Amino acid sequence: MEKSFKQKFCDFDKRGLVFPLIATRYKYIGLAISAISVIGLLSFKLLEIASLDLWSGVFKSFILSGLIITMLSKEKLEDERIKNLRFRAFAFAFLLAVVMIVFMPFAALLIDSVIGRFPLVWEQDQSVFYIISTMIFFQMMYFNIFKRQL
Amino acid sequence: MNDKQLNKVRKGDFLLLPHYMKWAAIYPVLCGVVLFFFKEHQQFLNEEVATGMAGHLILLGFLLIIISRDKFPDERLLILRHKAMAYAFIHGMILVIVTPFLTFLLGSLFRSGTQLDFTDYGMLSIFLFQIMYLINYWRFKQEL
Repeated sequence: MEKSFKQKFCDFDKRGLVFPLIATRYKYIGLAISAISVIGLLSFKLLEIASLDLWSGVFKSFILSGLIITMLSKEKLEDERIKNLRFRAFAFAFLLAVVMIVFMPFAALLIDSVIGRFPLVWEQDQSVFYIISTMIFFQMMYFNIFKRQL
Repeated sequence: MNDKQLNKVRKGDFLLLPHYMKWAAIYPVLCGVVLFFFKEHQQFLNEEVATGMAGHLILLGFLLIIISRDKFPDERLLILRHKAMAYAFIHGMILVIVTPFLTFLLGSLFRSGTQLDFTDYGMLSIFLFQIMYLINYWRFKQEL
């Protein structure tokens, strides 16, 4: 019998392909990509290359991609318990980053209005780089904390 | 912090609000939408602040929906919640990083000679994360 799209997707998910984890060696490859991109970004800034905005966007994307590769690489001993810890660390990072990013501008606006810094300005719209790097930082921090608590 | 509180924090149950907050979330979303469409007709805030605040009020509403408990919360739903957040994290991240990159690559292939730009989603990415979470959580609950 022909399987529906939903069933096919569920099978795909059960095989772990919707949330893919990659081999442990990619942890170092990801770190290398990030480190090279940081060096590239700094050198472009120091050399004051034309169209720096464009290249800083590209380098920042590479930095984040490297960090994501590191984050998605498996542990040496990957089991169900580590998988649950990973999910929990992702959940903590997701929630804390979203709470922080949503509430920060309101807090800044409130402080501005209390100390009388008028006219009020909305300066807190964050870039993707800031948002994603905050999430990655929280994820890595909590995952390491949870692993130590095992 | 005693052992019971510490255990609650470890389980990830500490940030969740009561179930009725799901309905209270309608108010910030409504306020955000009204402020966004009627920002020219008010004198309290300038247009830039009103736009930013409207966007953040909508995000706040969705955040309240996300962190409010289910009607009958249990350990299994908490695990599903964590799993959905992890999926939303990864899928949202891939979306907000890969899409601008692809746009840039395709732009550089097909628009040679003109000025290239690298635009990202900004605060819209948070909205995408929240939507991804809600879809994934709904999907996991359906599979139970």
